[in-house]
Amino acid sequence: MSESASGPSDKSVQVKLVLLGEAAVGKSSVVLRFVSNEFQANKEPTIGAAFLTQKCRLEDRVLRYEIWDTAGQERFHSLAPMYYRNAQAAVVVYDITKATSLEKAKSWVKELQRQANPNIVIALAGNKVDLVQPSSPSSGGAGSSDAEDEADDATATPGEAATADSESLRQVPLDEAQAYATEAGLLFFETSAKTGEGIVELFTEIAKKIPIEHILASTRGGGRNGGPVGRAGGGQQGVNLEENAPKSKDACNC
Amino acid sequence: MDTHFHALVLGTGITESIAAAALSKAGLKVVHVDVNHYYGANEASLTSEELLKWIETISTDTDSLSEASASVFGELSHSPRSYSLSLSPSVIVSTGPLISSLIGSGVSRYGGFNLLGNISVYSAAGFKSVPGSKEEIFKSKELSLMDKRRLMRFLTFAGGDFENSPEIQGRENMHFLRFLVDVFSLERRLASALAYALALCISDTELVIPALTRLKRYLRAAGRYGPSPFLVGQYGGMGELAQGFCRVAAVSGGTYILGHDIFSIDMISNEAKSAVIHRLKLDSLPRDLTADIIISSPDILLKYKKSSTDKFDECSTVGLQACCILVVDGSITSIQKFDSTERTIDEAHTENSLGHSRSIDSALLVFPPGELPSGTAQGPVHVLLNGEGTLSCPRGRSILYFSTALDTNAPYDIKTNPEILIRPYITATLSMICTAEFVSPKELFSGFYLKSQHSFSASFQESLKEYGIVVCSSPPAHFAERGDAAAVNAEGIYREVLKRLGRAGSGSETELWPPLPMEPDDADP
Repeated sequence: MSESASGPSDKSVQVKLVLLGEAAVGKSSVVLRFVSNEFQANKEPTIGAAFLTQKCRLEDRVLRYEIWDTAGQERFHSLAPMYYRNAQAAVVVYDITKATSLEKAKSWVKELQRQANPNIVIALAGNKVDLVQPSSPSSGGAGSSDAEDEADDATATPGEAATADSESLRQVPLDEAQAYATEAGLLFFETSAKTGEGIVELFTEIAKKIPIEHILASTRGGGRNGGPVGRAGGGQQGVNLEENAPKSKDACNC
Repeated sequence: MDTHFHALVLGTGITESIAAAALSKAGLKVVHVDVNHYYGANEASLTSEELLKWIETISTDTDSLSEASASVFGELSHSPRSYSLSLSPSVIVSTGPLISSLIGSGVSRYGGFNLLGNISVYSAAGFKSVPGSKEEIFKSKELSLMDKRRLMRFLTFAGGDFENSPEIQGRENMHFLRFLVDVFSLERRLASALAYALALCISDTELVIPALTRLKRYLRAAGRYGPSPFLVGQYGGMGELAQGFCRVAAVSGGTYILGHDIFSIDMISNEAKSAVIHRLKLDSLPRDLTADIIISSPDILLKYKKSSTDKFDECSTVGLQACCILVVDGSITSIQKFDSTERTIDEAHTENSLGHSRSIDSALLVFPPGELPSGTAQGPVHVLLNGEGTLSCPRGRSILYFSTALDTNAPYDIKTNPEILIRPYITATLSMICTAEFVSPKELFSGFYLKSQHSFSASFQESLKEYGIVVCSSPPAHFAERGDAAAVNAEGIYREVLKRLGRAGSGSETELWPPLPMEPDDADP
C-alpha cells in the first residue's frame, strides 16, 4: 500500500453514507452505478443487500463508503433511528422530471437535520438528467453520443440540441435546485444513473468534505466492530460477535 | 403497492422482528405493522422524549389490559435524542439462540455490543464483586479456604452433567437456595450470592432444575467473548436489535408500516383461493392489506380481535415485574463504596493505562432478598447499569435499570405505585456507588412502571392456528433469558408459518438463516 498514512491505521477510512429520497427516483440505481458501474432498466425496487461498499480515492487517502439503502422503509416513514445513526454522509435524491420529488427531498433534508449527526455531509442529487438530454434513447440524432459535457448547457440553452419533447420533461429547473442547495448548505449535482453522468463527481465531492481527521481521531483505539465510528465513542471496547475463537480468560491459566 | 401478503406481522417486538426477518429471507411476502412510531414495541429503546410520552400513555390508558402505572420526577431536556432508554433492559448470553440468530441473519454487523462488566452483590458494607469463574474464586481474598473448596466443588457439579447425579435424585422439587445450603454445605450468604448473582434467579422460590440448567449455560458461555458470559447491546439493547432484524426483513423485500392506527382486523373469504384470509384496515392508508397468516402477540390480538371469539378470555397474566428507569448525573467509576482512608483499587474500579479512573460501561448489581433492611421486595432486585460506553446515554450520564418480580397477587398499593417498592433500593444504590468526581451520583430522572406479559393457553393457541393466527408469546420477564426465548419462539413461528403455507421441508427453507453473502473484504486496495 503506497498511501503514506500518517496515523497508525493504514486501513482506509470507513464512512457510513445513507441514501434518502422518494420512491422511484433512482436511489439504488445511483449506488449501483457508483459501486459496480452498472445500470439496470426497470430495476426492482429493493436492492437486496444490507449495505454496499465502494472505495473512493482522494489525493492522499482512501475512503471506504459503506452505503446504506433505505430498503423501502422510507415509504411509510418507517426508517429506524439505526439507519441515521453514525452516518457521516447522506445523498438525498430527487427526480428532475418530477417536481414533487424535490419537495420530498427537502423534507428528507429536514429529517436528517433532526435525526442525524450534526456534522453530516449532505448532497442533493437531481437524478435522471439523461431524460432531458438529446441523447435520450428514442432520439438517435447526430452528435448525441457525447452529451455528458453539455449537461449544463442543455439546460441553460434548450435550443438546438435538445428536442422540445425531452427538455419539456424537466420539472425542476437547475437554478431552482441549486439555489435551494446553496441556501441549505448542501452539495449539489445533477446526475444520471443511466449514463453515469455526475455520479463519480458526487461521491468524490462528498469524500472531500468529510472531516477525515476527525473520524480518524475518534476511531483511534476502538475496534472495527459495529461498522463506522461510534458517537463520541472514546476508547470503549466493543465485542465482535463473529469472532468465534474464544478469548483467553484473563490472566491466570490455572 | 401489492396489498396481499403471505404474512402480516403485528408489532415490532424482538420476537416478531426475528420472525419477520426469517420469513422475508425465505422469500415470503411479509408486511410488518406497528401502531407506534418507533420500533421494538414492548422491547423498544426510546429517546427520553419518547419515554416520557410512553409513560404518560400507559399511566392514562384506561383501556390498558396490563396493570401499568408510572411516575416521573425530574427531566431529561439535555439532548433527548442521545438517550436510548430500554423498556426491556437485558443481557445477552454469549452462546445461545439469540447470538446464533444475530450472526446468522447478519444483524450482528449492524449493532455494537459490550461485554458485561462486574457483577456485584449488595451487603451492608457495600457492593461486593462476585467471582464468576474458578480463576476468580481462586484469587479471591474474601473467601475462606473452606468456602473456596465448596464453591469449586459446586461449580464443577453445575458445569457438568448434573441431571442424573445422585445430588439431584429426589430433590427435584427443592428450592435452589435450600439445595445449595443443604447439599453443598454453602454458607447462607454465599449461597445467596450464587443463586441471585451467578444463576440469576429472579425469584426466591425457584426450584433446583431450572436454576441449575441456567447456571450451566452461563458457566459454559463464559470465555467466548471474554470472562463474562453476558453481553450488553449498545444503544439500548433489544430495541436496537429489533430494528436490525426489521432492516434485514426490509432488505429482503418486507414492507414496513409504522405509526398508523389499526382500525380493524377481520377475516374475509377469498374466492380465488377458496380460503379465509385476514384483512387489516389502517388509519390514513387508502387500501386494505390482506394476508394468509397473522403473527401477533396476545396483547394486540386482545385489543383488536376481542369481539371475534369469546375464547380470548383464556388469557392469563404472567411475569409481573416492578421496574424503574433511573438516569443519573455523572459517569459511574466505582460501585464500591468510596472510602478515602482505606480505598483499595480492585477490578470494580477500572483504570486505563494513564491511571485515570474510567467510567464503567456496564455492570449488574444484585440485592438478594432480605439483605436491605429497608427493602420490602419479596424476591431479589436486579440493577443493570449502562454507562456512556454502551452509547445509550450522553457522556457524563449513566442509566440504572431496576427490576424485581412481583407476585400477581401483590398488594394493590404496590401495583399502583411501584416506586414504593423500588425507592429504598435506589437510595441504597446511589449511596454506595460513586462517580469520576468521587461523589454519589445525582438523580436526574426516574420513571416507574409495572410490566406484565399475557399468555394464552396452549389449547387456545392451537385453535387459533386453524384460523391462520400464529401467536407470538411475549418474551419472559427474566432479563438474561428473554433474548434467547424470543429467538427460539421466532424459529417456532417461522416453521409454523412455512408449514401452514405448504412450504415446509422444501430444501433451502429448512434452515432458519440461509448462508450470508461474504462480508465485503476489508483488505486494502
